[in-house]
Amino acid sequence: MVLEGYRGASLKKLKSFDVAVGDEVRLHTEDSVIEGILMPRYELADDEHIVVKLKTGYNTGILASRVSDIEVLARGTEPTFRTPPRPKLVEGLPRVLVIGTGGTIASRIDYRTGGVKPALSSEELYHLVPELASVAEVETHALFNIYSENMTPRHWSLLAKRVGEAVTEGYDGIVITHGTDTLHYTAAALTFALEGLPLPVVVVGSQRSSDRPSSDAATNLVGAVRVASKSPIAGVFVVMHAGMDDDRLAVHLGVRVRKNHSSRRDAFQSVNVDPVGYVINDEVQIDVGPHPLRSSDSSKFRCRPEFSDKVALFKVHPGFEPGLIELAARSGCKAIVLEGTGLGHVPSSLYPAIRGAIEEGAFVGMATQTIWGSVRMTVYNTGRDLLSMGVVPLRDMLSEVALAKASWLAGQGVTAQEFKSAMAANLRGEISDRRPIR
Amino acid sequence: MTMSRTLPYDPEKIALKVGLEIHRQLSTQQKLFCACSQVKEDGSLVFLRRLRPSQSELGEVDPAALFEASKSLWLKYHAGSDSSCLVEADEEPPHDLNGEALESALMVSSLLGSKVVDEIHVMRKMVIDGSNTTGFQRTMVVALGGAVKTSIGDVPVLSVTLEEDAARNLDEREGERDFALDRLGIPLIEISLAPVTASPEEVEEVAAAVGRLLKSTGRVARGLGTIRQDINVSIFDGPVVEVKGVQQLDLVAKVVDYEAKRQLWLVQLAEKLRGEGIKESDIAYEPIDCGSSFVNTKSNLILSGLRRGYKVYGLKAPGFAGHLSEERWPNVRLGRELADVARFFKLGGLLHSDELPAYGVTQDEVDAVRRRTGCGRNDAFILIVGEESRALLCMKSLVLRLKQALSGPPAETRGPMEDGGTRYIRPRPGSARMYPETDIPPLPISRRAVEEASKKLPPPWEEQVSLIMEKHRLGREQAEHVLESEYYDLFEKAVEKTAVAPTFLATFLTETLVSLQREGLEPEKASADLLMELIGRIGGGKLAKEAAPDVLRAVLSGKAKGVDDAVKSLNIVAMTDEELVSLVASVIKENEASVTTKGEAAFSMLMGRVMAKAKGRADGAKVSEELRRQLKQSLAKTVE
Repeated sequence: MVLEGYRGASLKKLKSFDVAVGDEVRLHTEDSVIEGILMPRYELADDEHIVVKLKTGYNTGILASRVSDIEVLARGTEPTFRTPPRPKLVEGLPRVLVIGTGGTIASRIDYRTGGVKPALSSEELYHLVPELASVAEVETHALFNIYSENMTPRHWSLLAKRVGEAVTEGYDGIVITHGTDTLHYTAAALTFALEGLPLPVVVVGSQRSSDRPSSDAATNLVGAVRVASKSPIAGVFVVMHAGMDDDRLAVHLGVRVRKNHSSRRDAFQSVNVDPVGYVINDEVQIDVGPHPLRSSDSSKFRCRPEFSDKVALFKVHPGFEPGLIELAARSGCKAIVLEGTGLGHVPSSLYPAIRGAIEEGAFVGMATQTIWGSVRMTVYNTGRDLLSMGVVPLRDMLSEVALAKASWLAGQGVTAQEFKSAMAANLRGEISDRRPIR
Repeated sequence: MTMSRTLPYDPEKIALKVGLEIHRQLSTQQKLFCACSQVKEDGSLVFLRRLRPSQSELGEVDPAALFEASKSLWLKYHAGSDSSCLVEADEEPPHDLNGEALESALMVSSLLGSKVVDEIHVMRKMVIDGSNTTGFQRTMVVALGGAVKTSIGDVPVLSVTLEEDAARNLDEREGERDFALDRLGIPLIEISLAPVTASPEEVEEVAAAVGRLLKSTGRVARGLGTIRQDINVSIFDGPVVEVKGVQQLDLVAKVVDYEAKRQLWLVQLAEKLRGEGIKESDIAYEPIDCGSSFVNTKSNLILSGLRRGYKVYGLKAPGFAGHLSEERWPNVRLGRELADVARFFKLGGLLHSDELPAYGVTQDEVDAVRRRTGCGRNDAFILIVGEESRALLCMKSLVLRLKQALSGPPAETRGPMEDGGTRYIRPRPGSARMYPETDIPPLPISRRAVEEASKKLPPPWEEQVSLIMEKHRLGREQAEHVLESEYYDLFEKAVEKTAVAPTFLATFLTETLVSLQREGLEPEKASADLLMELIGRIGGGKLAKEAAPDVLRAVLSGKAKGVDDAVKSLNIVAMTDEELVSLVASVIKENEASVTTKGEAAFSMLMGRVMAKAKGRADGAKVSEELRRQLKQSLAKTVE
């Protein structure tokens, strides 16, 4: 942390004086004198500037080449984030385990250095989200700390295993904090791996970073913990904002939700179905419907956490290169999910490659890139041609869910025939027979 | 430094230090961090948010700060489609910094001789009253140092900052605040000056000098609401009081003067109180429930409070008898400071023993409170009415304020009042909660960019004045007023688009509007569009320019809805040429005798008579022309 982030010319200049980040310094250039605290360097910025926090609190950058002298006025101290004490909890609260995978759901700022420290322990969580103390007795487990775009099927496995253990540890519900980019993939993956779940597992994230006062992090987290504690139904769910307002969250079925906007709070939407419920002004409102009820009996629960990364997902487009499909098959892909156009179509130039992949024993399934709607491949010639080759229609399953499902089935080591019928069948609510008029 | 001989204090002797921070909107095509335009609209899309104060804001010692931070408000944001996008709604990260705004900031820095920093770092400054949807304001230092030339010499500049303006307050109710997002994100330039020791008038002149400098760049927006002055005042190197949001230049001197007097009085009062032996330890937080003494009171404030289930609390202020109402200058007294505290906590009001019996409170009730709070002859008491927990929090603040009265004026944030006075708004925030805006990478600024920007500077102020004088044939003073006016943009537009004489426009936009303001009307409420419409009518010959003040007066006083309405109701549709000819003829006929005796010298008298009869329906120049013509004709006939 001594000269954090500095490299090249700026690092060289700083090293020639005995300074460290956090020291109070006075920099001399040919036309000015600047006093302040030496700040760390943002890693993606250039190597030519030195950053100082002025007395007014503003940061400013100075060209290292212009600095002729640096005086140290006072030595700095490391920012201390003391762990706050655990608050007194209301008696008889539900027990909820919060598993962290990254995607900061709560953080603290050290204004002196600008550093943002994620809250990982339950004490820190209670400190930053005090309402939790009246909702549930929360325990935390920081499993990983990665950007969700770096999640792999191996991470899904580890996560599923941990959740599996927690199911028998007497919790009333489980919450998983997760980056939003691939949150829906993980939610789907967990749904398949956790067969016969007797309690709710809620995956939650935040679209606006948790260090800012406007962050949706705390509201989403509390909402998720409420759902994990109070949901009458069991399964894997995603809880995020329902719209632009802060007073309403949506509860989505884990295999029926997608991130449909790059930045909005309500990016997550249930596709082809309605959300299973809402949290409105802190009250959990869930329609039991056809969903399995929560139960204290975990005898039917099976954790099957094996996944395979030998699966591929292609978004097909005009001029799509057939060689990519051949490559996938040749490199050992057990399953290829295609996001076809419209009702499930691809350019005919891809037929030989698809046929070839199926002949080599790969599963090829068809979803639609229109996101909404179902594939129906009997309507047009293209669809019929693909069906006769052995392409399996995946109906109204989301392509990302299909990928997670394929990854799971491939990890389970089922036969090719079992694979085909399992992919086409509705195992956990990921496929439906009807789509309501909206 | 010259001193005003009429000041009851010597700014140097009391070490009056005034630090000015001048904020002005920049006129740019787009906002600071998104592509929306700077248009004013209330907006029809509404969404609801809550802001969470960061943990370090709670747990403050000052009960007022705790109250502010704990208020969990619902914030209702109104968004219009041209002025707001997902960035204002905090649904999208900020876009790149607006290059036009940055260039304006570099130009201003160049004029001030401020050194532009090598690399700009955008910061997040925490603001949780709801006026920023993100909970922070994006702000950055662009340049340091420099000076502004003023009539009292060079005043050093501390910094030139570029930042986003906040959302516009629409409404506030219990538990809810409404904001319009149109103003959010508009670029603001802030010039922060080093404290000066000067008279209030000199300080105002400094503010005016900065205003002129900004206006001379041609890059700032004009109009009320585009400028805000924050004034930091201290005396004897004591605590600094921040007066935020002074919008009118002509309030600056009044505010500085009031603050100097208020602070001086509080210093003197503190000495008195200490001299009388009062100590901080004498002032105790011991609120006494006095509700039962007011069961049959005639005081509206207390009665209505009791009916609502509120509490009436009394507090002894030991040794303060007579000092709460004591005044050296009008409206400067400790009692007023205490009343401001009650207002902050949104209580109905505050009563104290120095002003009682009054307001429906009887001597008997006063005696009862004195007994219950244990007041001796030299003690005063304070009475407040409000919901229990809020009233108790307020009491804690009042106790603190009484203790502070023994030391002098406390550091706090105050707001300006229309008469130039100031009132307490909130406790002074702790050191600015700022941390880097990591969504925007640091921005290196090359020396070349700085040079290019300074080349774009228009001619200096004096030269611009001369140009206007030449171009529009205006006198120097008038040209200066026009250039300085908040309506300068409108002036140029009207000159370009209408046939109205620049001299009339200059007078109308500077003098006429000001005199309407003195009449108690609010000319700033007249939109630029309305004024253009009015001017357009005059230019098109449909309205005499003499009628302009009456039309505007009618609209501003609410008697007419718009220009059309005003013209109709005032019956000042411009006279037709035939009507004018016959009017002039009839006046000449009526005054035949004078015409015969005075000849051409009767002109001005006749002119006056015609204009009076025209009642604003005729343009003076036209009348003059017609009168001269007819008069000449008439005299020619006479000669014959």
